[in-house]
Amino acid sequence: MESSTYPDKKVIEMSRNFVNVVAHSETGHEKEVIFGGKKVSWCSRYWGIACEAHSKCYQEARSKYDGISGVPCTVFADPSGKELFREAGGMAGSELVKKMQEALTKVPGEKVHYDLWAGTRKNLADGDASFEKGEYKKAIEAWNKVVKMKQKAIKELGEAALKRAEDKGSEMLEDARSKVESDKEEAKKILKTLSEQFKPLEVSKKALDLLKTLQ
Amino acid sequence: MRNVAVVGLVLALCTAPQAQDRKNDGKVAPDGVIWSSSWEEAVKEATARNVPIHFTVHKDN
Repeated sequence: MESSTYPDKKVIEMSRNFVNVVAHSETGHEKEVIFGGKKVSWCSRYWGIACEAHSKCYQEARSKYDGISGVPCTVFADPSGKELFREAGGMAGSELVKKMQEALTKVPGEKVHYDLWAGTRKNLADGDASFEKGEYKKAIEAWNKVVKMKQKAIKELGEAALKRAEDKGSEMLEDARSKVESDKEEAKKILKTLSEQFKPLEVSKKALDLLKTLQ
Repeated sequence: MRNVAVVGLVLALCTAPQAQDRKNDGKVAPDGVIWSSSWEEAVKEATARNVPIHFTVHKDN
């Protein structure tokens, strides 16, 4: 299956609707490949992971499914890991695709495709990085892209990230308020940052309103 | 409860493999099935995405 089934384009495409785990205890299949301009050591049987990863998955997960007497064996499980059904023996690409389609029908509800998941991860990570650097406008823009997604699970991640921005903004607003009497110029500077960097959050409007009263 | 779920999703995002990390650079490595690095990460990601887990057991010939 390693050399014919998993490289099948239809299998690869269908696999993006799953989380894929391979359990293979033996190691030593590594070879060096050029990836991202760098040499990396990947397993020659399973794309994108080191042998250590498939061996680790064997240790962690093999015992979760009773009665696997021969290999290869493919188990389809729900998102919590509970077995849905299994297929003993090797499968051609077309057979595996059929089984995957069957597994998908057994998990109800809205599913998030890998490409969308990966894009979300990137936007959240970009937002996090900008936020840490104090580039709040960039962070909020990145997180807003996540909030605008229609998938509820994804949208909630964006909302959680934006809540961090709102909290940070509120903290800065309080700081500005405390400085209005003692250091008006500093207070105005903070409020200006808030009004410009934290759009379209509520805290940005509050900062702008306060700034107007000081000018 | 909702906050706990969101924290779980965030953790899954932080630990799951990046698509960009796996993107083929066109030089040597072909595109392929994206395999999870650990069972724990797999369950977290599958829960967050609400997708089934495709688990396969193999051994050397």
